[in-house]
Amino acid sequence: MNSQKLPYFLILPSIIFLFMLTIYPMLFALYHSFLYWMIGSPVRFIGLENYINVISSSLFQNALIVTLKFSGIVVAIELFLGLITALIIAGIRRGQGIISAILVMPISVAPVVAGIIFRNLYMKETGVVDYLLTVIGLPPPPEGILGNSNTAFLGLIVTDVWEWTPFIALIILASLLSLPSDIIEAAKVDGASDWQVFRYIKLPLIKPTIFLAAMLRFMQAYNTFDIVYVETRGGPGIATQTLSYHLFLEGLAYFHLGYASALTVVVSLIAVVLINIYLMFTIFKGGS
Amino acid sequence: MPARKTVLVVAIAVIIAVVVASAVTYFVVVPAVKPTTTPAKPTIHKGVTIRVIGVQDPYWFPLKDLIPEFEKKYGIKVEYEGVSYYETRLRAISAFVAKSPEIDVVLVDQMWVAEYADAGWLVPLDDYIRRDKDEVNPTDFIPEVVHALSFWRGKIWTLPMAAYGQLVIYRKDVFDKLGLKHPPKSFKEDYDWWTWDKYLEYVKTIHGKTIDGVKFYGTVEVGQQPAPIVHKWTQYLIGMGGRWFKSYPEAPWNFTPVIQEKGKAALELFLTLYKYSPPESIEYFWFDAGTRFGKGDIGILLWWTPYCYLIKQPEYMVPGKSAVVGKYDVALPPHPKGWKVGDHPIMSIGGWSYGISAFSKHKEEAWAFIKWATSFETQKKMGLLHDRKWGSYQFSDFVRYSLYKDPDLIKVYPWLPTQLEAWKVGNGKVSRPMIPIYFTLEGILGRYLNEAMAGKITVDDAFKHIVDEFTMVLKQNFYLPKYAGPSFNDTPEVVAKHLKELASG
Repeated sequence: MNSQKLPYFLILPSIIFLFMLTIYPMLFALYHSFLYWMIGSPVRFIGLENYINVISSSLFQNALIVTLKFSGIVVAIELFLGLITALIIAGIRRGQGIISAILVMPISVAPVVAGIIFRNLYMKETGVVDYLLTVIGLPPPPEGILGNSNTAFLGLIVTDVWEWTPFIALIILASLLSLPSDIIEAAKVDGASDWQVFRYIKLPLIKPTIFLAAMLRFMQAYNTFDIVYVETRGGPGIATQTLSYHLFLEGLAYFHLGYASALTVVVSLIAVVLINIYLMFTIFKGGS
Repeated sequence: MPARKTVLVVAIAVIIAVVVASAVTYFVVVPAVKPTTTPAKPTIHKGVTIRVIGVQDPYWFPLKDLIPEFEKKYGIKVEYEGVSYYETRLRAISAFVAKSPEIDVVLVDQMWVAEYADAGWLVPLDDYIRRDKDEVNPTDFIPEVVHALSFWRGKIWTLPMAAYGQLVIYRKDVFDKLGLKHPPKSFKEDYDWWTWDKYLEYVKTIHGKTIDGVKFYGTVEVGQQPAPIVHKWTQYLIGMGGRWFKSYPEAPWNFTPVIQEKGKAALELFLTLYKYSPPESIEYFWFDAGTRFGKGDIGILLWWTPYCYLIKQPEYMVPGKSAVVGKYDVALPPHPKGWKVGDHPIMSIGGWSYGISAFSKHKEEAWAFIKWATSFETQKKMGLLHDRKWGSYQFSDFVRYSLYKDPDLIKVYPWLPTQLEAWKVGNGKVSRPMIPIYFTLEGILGRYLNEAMAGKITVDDAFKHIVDEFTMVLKQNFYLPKYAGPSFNDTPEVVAKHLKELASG
């Protein structure tokens, strides 16, 4: 074998392994998305019918809106709170390590556990949140926080924000702490205020990190399943049914394997398109 | 290297990856086992390990504590695994689809039997029962229970492990204080007056009253979708004489949906009762309703029979005493005005049964376990096991006639005679049809019932959506426009006859 071909053959096992883990399941799902395959019924080829059913399904449309609304809101809130938290911690001279360690705690809790914790906190009569809201004159609806469409959605947002804001804060904090101090000091010597230092020096420098953190969080939020499963089961009605929960029901509860395969493809494609649009307008546009 | 060669390497890699992944899937990860349906020779291999998988419902706990007795008696080791409702189904189907022998004994919810049986995943038990008729004593099993939990297309696929009906649980002290006549415990009593109108009247009477310092709700509903709300609502549906399809389970089968005919009235009743329930019950699961009754501020609860004993505990399977111990009683379900015993069924039947995986390598040992778990002796022990551990006895979901007549058990569970009578007016296949696509239909039903409960949709609109979506799914699966598959007259009477035939060999 000549020396030019050798490197390609050396990396062949890795490529095969990669394909087995990534491309094969996608091809598997793609193939089954063209079948009518429901456990208990005869399997048959139906062309694009599953895709048509997915796109025209009111459940899918609702789940898409719920997911995008949820992802957009939580990412915005978490970025805002995470940035403020990171700026505050970066400004503290002592105890940064301890605060960072405390910040890691919510992230280390499994989402399903976070869901159980908040479900108990929201519980009518016995839940602390329910009680505190009543005390401050904002009584939750009679059917409870998770029993009402609007407040159930808010309840999920609060759970997610509690768990993932520290993640954003830590990423931004790391970026803030790695900024070159000479530029900041030079600006201060030139008479720049704290706000001006933040607005014109720190923010542009940490922008790529913020964009990256936002993208990572969006991808996670887009796939939210655990807290929905534990707290609301997609209800009341379908008010909190996310794409992942919808996919779980179709694939693993009802075993509509063909339909669920098409749904997987559509959900993945939407994610890829959204992320690429985001990358085009943020990270790549800035040349970072 | 030129681009063409790169493409070639990648193409080779893809082909090898696909081939290897397929091979791994079919030959390595999943050692395929040929399904067999013929009972093996009646030889128990000592030292064999069988895996039993099931939901952690009440039956699971006492049976777990008795398993060492089984292991000692048969020399078979049992890996006894308890998982959640959805996981039970998911684990079983994953093993079945992969033809894996990892599960020997599988717990089956009543609606899954048809699906598992039609797919060839369960071993029919008729030959085993006939062979071991003296040990199994098939005519001791309650036909209505076998019909609901185990019977499909003329065969018995599983043996019932825990049978549930839906009875009225009410606060006898509250009834006495408000001067309300207690509902009947037997059809031999004055029964005609115990109608749905009366039930609703009682709920309204109790609601809002403060008794001994406790402000009462008339009743408690269950709203979590899909399964819990469907379980609750279908009791109202069957209680009013409703059904899902034009002709099922009686032959010839016709799956044209008629669920809307009595369904609307059943949903109206459900929504009315919700007005007299804790508002948060819209998100209640099965056991939430029982736990709420146990807290002591609910007047009447119509719910699955395990709650007749579960409500003695402060929470689901938490040792201790609830607020209603000694203060409640159990009665028959209400009926429509003018109804007589022998008219349409009025009680939902549900529960769990054990079946043998068609891919098990230890079918005879699995069968030994099922025989043992469903036997009179084991079930009686389960019923009398846990007073000290849980604070009260925690299993009365018996599947055999003889257990409902046992004086020791009646002393502990005084509602057993009522439950026994109620089996005769129950039908699990009318309330929740055992067809392979049940789960899909339940998902549709649960969603719209819950939306109606949340006030997002009217009763009429809910049923328009339900019927439209039912029709679509039924058409996709060839149940409509005309069901061309084989029908059979699937009634408790047919099952009773079948059990007698098995008993006679």
